[in-house]
Amino acid sequence: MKQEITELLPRLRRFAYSLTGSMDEADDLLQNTVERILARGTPDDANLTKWAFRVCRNVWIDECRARKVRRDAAEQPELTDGQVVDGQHQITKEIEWNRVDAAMARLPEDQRQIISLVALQGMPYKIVAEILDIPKGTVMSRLARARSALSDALTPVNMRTD
Amino acid sequence: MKMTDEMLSAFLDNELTDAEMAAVRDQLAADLALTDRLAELATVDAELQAHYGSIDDRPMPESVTRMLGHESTGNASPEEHPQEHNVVTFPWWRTVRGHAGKAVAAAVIGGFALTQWFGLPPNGGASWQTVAQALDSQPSGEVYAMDQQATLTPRLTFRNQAGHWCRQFRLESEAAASEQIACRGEAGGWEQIARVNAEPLPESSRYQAASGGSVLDEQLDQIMAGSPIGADKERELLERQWGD
Repeated sequence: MKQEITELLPRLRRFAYSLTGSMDEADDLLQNTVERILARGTPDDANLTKWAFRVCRNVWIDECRARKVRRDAAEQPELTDGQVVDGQHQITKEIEWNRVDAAMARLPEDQRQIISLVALQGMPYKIVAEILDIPKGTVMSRLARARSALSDALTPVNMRTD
Repeated sequence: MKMTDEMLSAFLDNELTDAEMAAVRDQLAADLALTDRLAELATVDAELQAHYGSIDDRPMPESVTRMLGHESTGNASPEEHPQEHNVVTFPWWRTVRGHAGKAVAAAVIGGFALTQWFGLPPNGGASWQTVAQALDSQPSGEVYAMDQQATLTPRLTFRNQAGHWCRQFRLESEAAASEQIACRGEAGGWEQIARVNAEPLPESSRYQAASGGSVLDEQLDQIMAGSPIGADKERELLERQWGD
């Protein structure tokens, strides 16, 4: 199984990057994903690729929730005094934060996952529907909304057709 | 049919029925604004791929490769571990057929007129006429100059399941290349059946391997009835102008 996971790594990593919008966080997510797959194994009847993307997405959602709790706490002014800021990490993050990340960050979570799986991974809607456990029609409509929103955010105003 | 973003988006992914795909193509050929919109949606994919693909250039974290039982990579350059860093293996779910919509998208992004590379207006555009002329008259394996920029190389001639003659060929310009299949329709003209983007070759290294159309293998398997015909039979067929 390790060999199969190794072959999947580059794709899983891109997926992780598209979800987190930061290379550092993507590698953290990748590591936690691989850890979880190795620790918990895969069901006998599961396709490893689908399973791995599903685990990655679940780990990401868990991390997002955890981060949101931390961020909410950090935004309480009384808690920020004396907080140690990792300056280098912060700068790296800001450099990485570009307009694609910004546009992706504004998408709802589900749309972001869908467009990552389709546009980045080239997965058919049927597989995406199975990974995310939603109907294929929902994949199609949410994907279109995601592309449309990203297009609005990324296309220079003078190039728009409308 | 009213063309929504949802239709165009699914068209890009080749997720519509054959009839719907054809309807979108027809409208694209007729409606420039729709083509522009398709380009905008397709550009999103290209931007995402370029941006998130950039993580491939960064060495895989050692912590991850160690978990998977590999030697420590340290600060190894990507060249020393290409399988871990830069090579994205061809996904199992990606069939050649799946590229149909994306091929159009690439043509749109690349700035090629849709009608030139794919759209094929129902009455046959000028450039498809040039393709058709080459297919009508050129033997397989020879490079045929279509104009200043583009060459066409027929590779195979065979019959499809319906008994019509088909050819697999490569179109190439400096900026783009594609492998295509066209078959003769009931009326005798050439109709494009399949097209997949290929890497353009540098001028200096343009050689035409007989197996170069292998990206279309899956479709060839579906379409072909029997083997491709040999050079002699093909020459006779060209001389007979495709008459049986």
